[in-house]
Amino acid sequence: MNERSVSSSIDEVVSGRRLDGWLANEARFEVDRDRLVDACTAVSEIPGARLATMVGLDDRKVSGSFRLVYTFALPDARWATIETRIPGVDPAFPSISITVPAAHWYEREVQDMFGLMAEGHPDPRRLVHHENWPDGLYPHRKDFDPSIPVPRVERNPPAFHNRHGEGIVEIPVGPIHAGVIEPGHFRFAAVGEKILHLEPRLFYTHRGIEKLVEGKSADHVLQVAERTCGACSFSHAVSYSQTIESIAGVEIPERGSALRTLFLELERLYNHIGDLGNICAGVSFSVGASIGARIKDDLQRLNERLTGNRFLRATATLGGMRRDLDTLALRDIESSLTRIAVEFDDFISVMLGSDTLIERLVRTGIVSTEIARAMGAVGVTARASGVNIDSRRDHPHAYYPDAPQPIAVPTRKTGDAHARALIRLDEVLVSFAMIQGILENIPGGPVSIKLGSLPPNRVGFAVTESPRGENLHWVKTDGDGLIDRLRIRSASYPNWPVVAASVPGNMVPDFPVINKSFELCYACLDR
Amino acid sequence: MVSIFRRSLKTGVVTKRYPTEPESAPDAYRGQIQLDTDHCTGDGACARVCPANAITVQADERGWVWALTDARCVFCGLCEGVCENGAIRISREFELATLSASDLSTTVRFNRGE
Repeated sequence: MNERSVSSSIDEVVSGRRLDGWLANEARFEVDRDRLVDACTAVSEIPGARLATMVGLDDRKVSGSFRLVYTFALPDARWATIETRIPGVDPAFPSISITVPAAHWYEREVQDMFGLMAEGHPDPRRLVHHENWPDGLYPHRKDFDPSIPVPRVERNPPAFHNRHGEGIVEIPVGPIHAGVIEPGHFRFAAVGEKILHLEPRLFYTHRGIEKLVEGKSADHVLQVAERTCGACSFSHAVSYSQTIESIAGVEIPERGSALRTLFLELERLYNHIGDLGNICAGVSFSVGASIGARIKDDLQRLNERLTGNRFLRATATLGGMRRDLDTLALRDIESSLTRIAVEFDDFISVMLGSDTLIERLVRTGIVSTEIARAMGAVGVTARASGVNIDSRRDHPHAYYPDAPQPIAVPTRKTGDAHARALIRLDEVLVSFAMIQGILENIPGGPVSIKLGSLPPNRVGFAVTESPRGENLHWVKTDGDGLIDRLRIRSASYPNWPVVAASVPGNMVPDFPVINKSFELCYACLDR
Repeated sequence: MVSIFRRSLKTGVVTKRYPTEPESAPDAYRGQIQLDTDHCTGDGACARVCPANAITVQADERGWVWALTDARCVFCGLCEGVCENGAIRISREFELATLSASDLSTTVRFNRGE
């Protein structure tokens, strides 16, 4: 579909006021509150459309109203945004979650953080705040003062949506887990070994990052944004930097772009190989777990030699890269990856050669294509369930458009833990090849360009493909060019509900490997 | 099974007996921030740029006090970049764990005219 036909087809289905897009390829509309469901439903029915994010804003000081921004990803690198205003005196809106299920957590979050009630939402319970947070206190409203201590409410947590009956056992798991992992609570209902239902309770590592950065400079906020989580640090740094660069209207130098891509792929490598080791650990296949951990550590040591940090922090900067890589560093990457590729090959033969491991993964934790699409799943989770999406190809950024070969996007149809493991295997090989291609042809020149102060009251958003999937950062500047609103929508955000949907019907001991087959970030979700 | 044993024997031991066998951080590593007292002018640029509020520079009638809290530092290194006097150095010191919180704070008092 060419640009005009996509735009005009959106115009036909959305009856709203057409606004200028914040991005060049964005069709942006404002609709009245009571047209919100129709407009969003219509966009969601465009072939290939996917809800990418929803952002709430408190614009009451300027306009007396709140604002909701629903942004959909469309084919051919396009975006469609539906916005609506919500009067400050009547903070409610019609939920779109019945027809667009992917909106469900965004709308619950906006209830908790802005006090905007999603009327008709099929599950309007608290999402972010646990029971100890007082009623009626909405931290993302501009009149919430974070310096005033919030009193803790002592009350019982609300009941989980569980099954009850003869022979049904309720099993609580976490937030403290057997391994040293992030905190999250999982409430199972099981009959014998078979899981009937799972409800996760997350947001234990909610730190208020998005509120914390309000009013700060874009440079300061980069340091916070890239520490949202550990495993996707570099992806966060680049998504955020690209957002600021789009607001500033600046294109970074070629070599900076190539280095960003190189490190995005290095991040993918240590995550995917580590995840394959963790999948082995999930079924107590210790040999696989050890090999995976050893190779992962090797890759993180390479990261540390190159950038001073195993998680690639303080490496990207606004306008490009903080420092260049010299010939010795580039040779280090090449020789390390040559050695690691051989070890990885051996690792895979150990994994695939183990019938007992494979048997645990096949038909375990199945996610159907329908559920993956309906929930707006991204990344490995989506591709393992037949949804062919990848930001590197679909919304080209950094050096990906200049890669010597078109980005190979492996997909599988079975949607089980086995498929998610094999997708990672395929992607590791793609990453090796991509890094090699960049090393052979890396452009010269500067690695960064200085950004001036940012234009006031401007919005930008940008994506990178983190190891878990599309990582979208959305920023609005204030009247002084400082950060007014930052919305971090990591790949884990749409994927966590998919984990819950994959579990019923499996046996309880399969939960660890199912969870590890998705290997989502809690910190990325919770912020 | 036997092939797995053979593999493990071939790989050998990959771990190090740290700390008996010491380990040093790579050149690029950003460790503890250290102050070169000969070059500090108390202008506070480091404190202003620090995203974690780990550094404070407090002026008073006698001079100024430079203070660092390792517990807050996120090892981003922006302080070193912004100091025009070259007074901030990023060391490779990473063995900072301690049982006493006061070990995590460094305070340096500067008197004008000295």
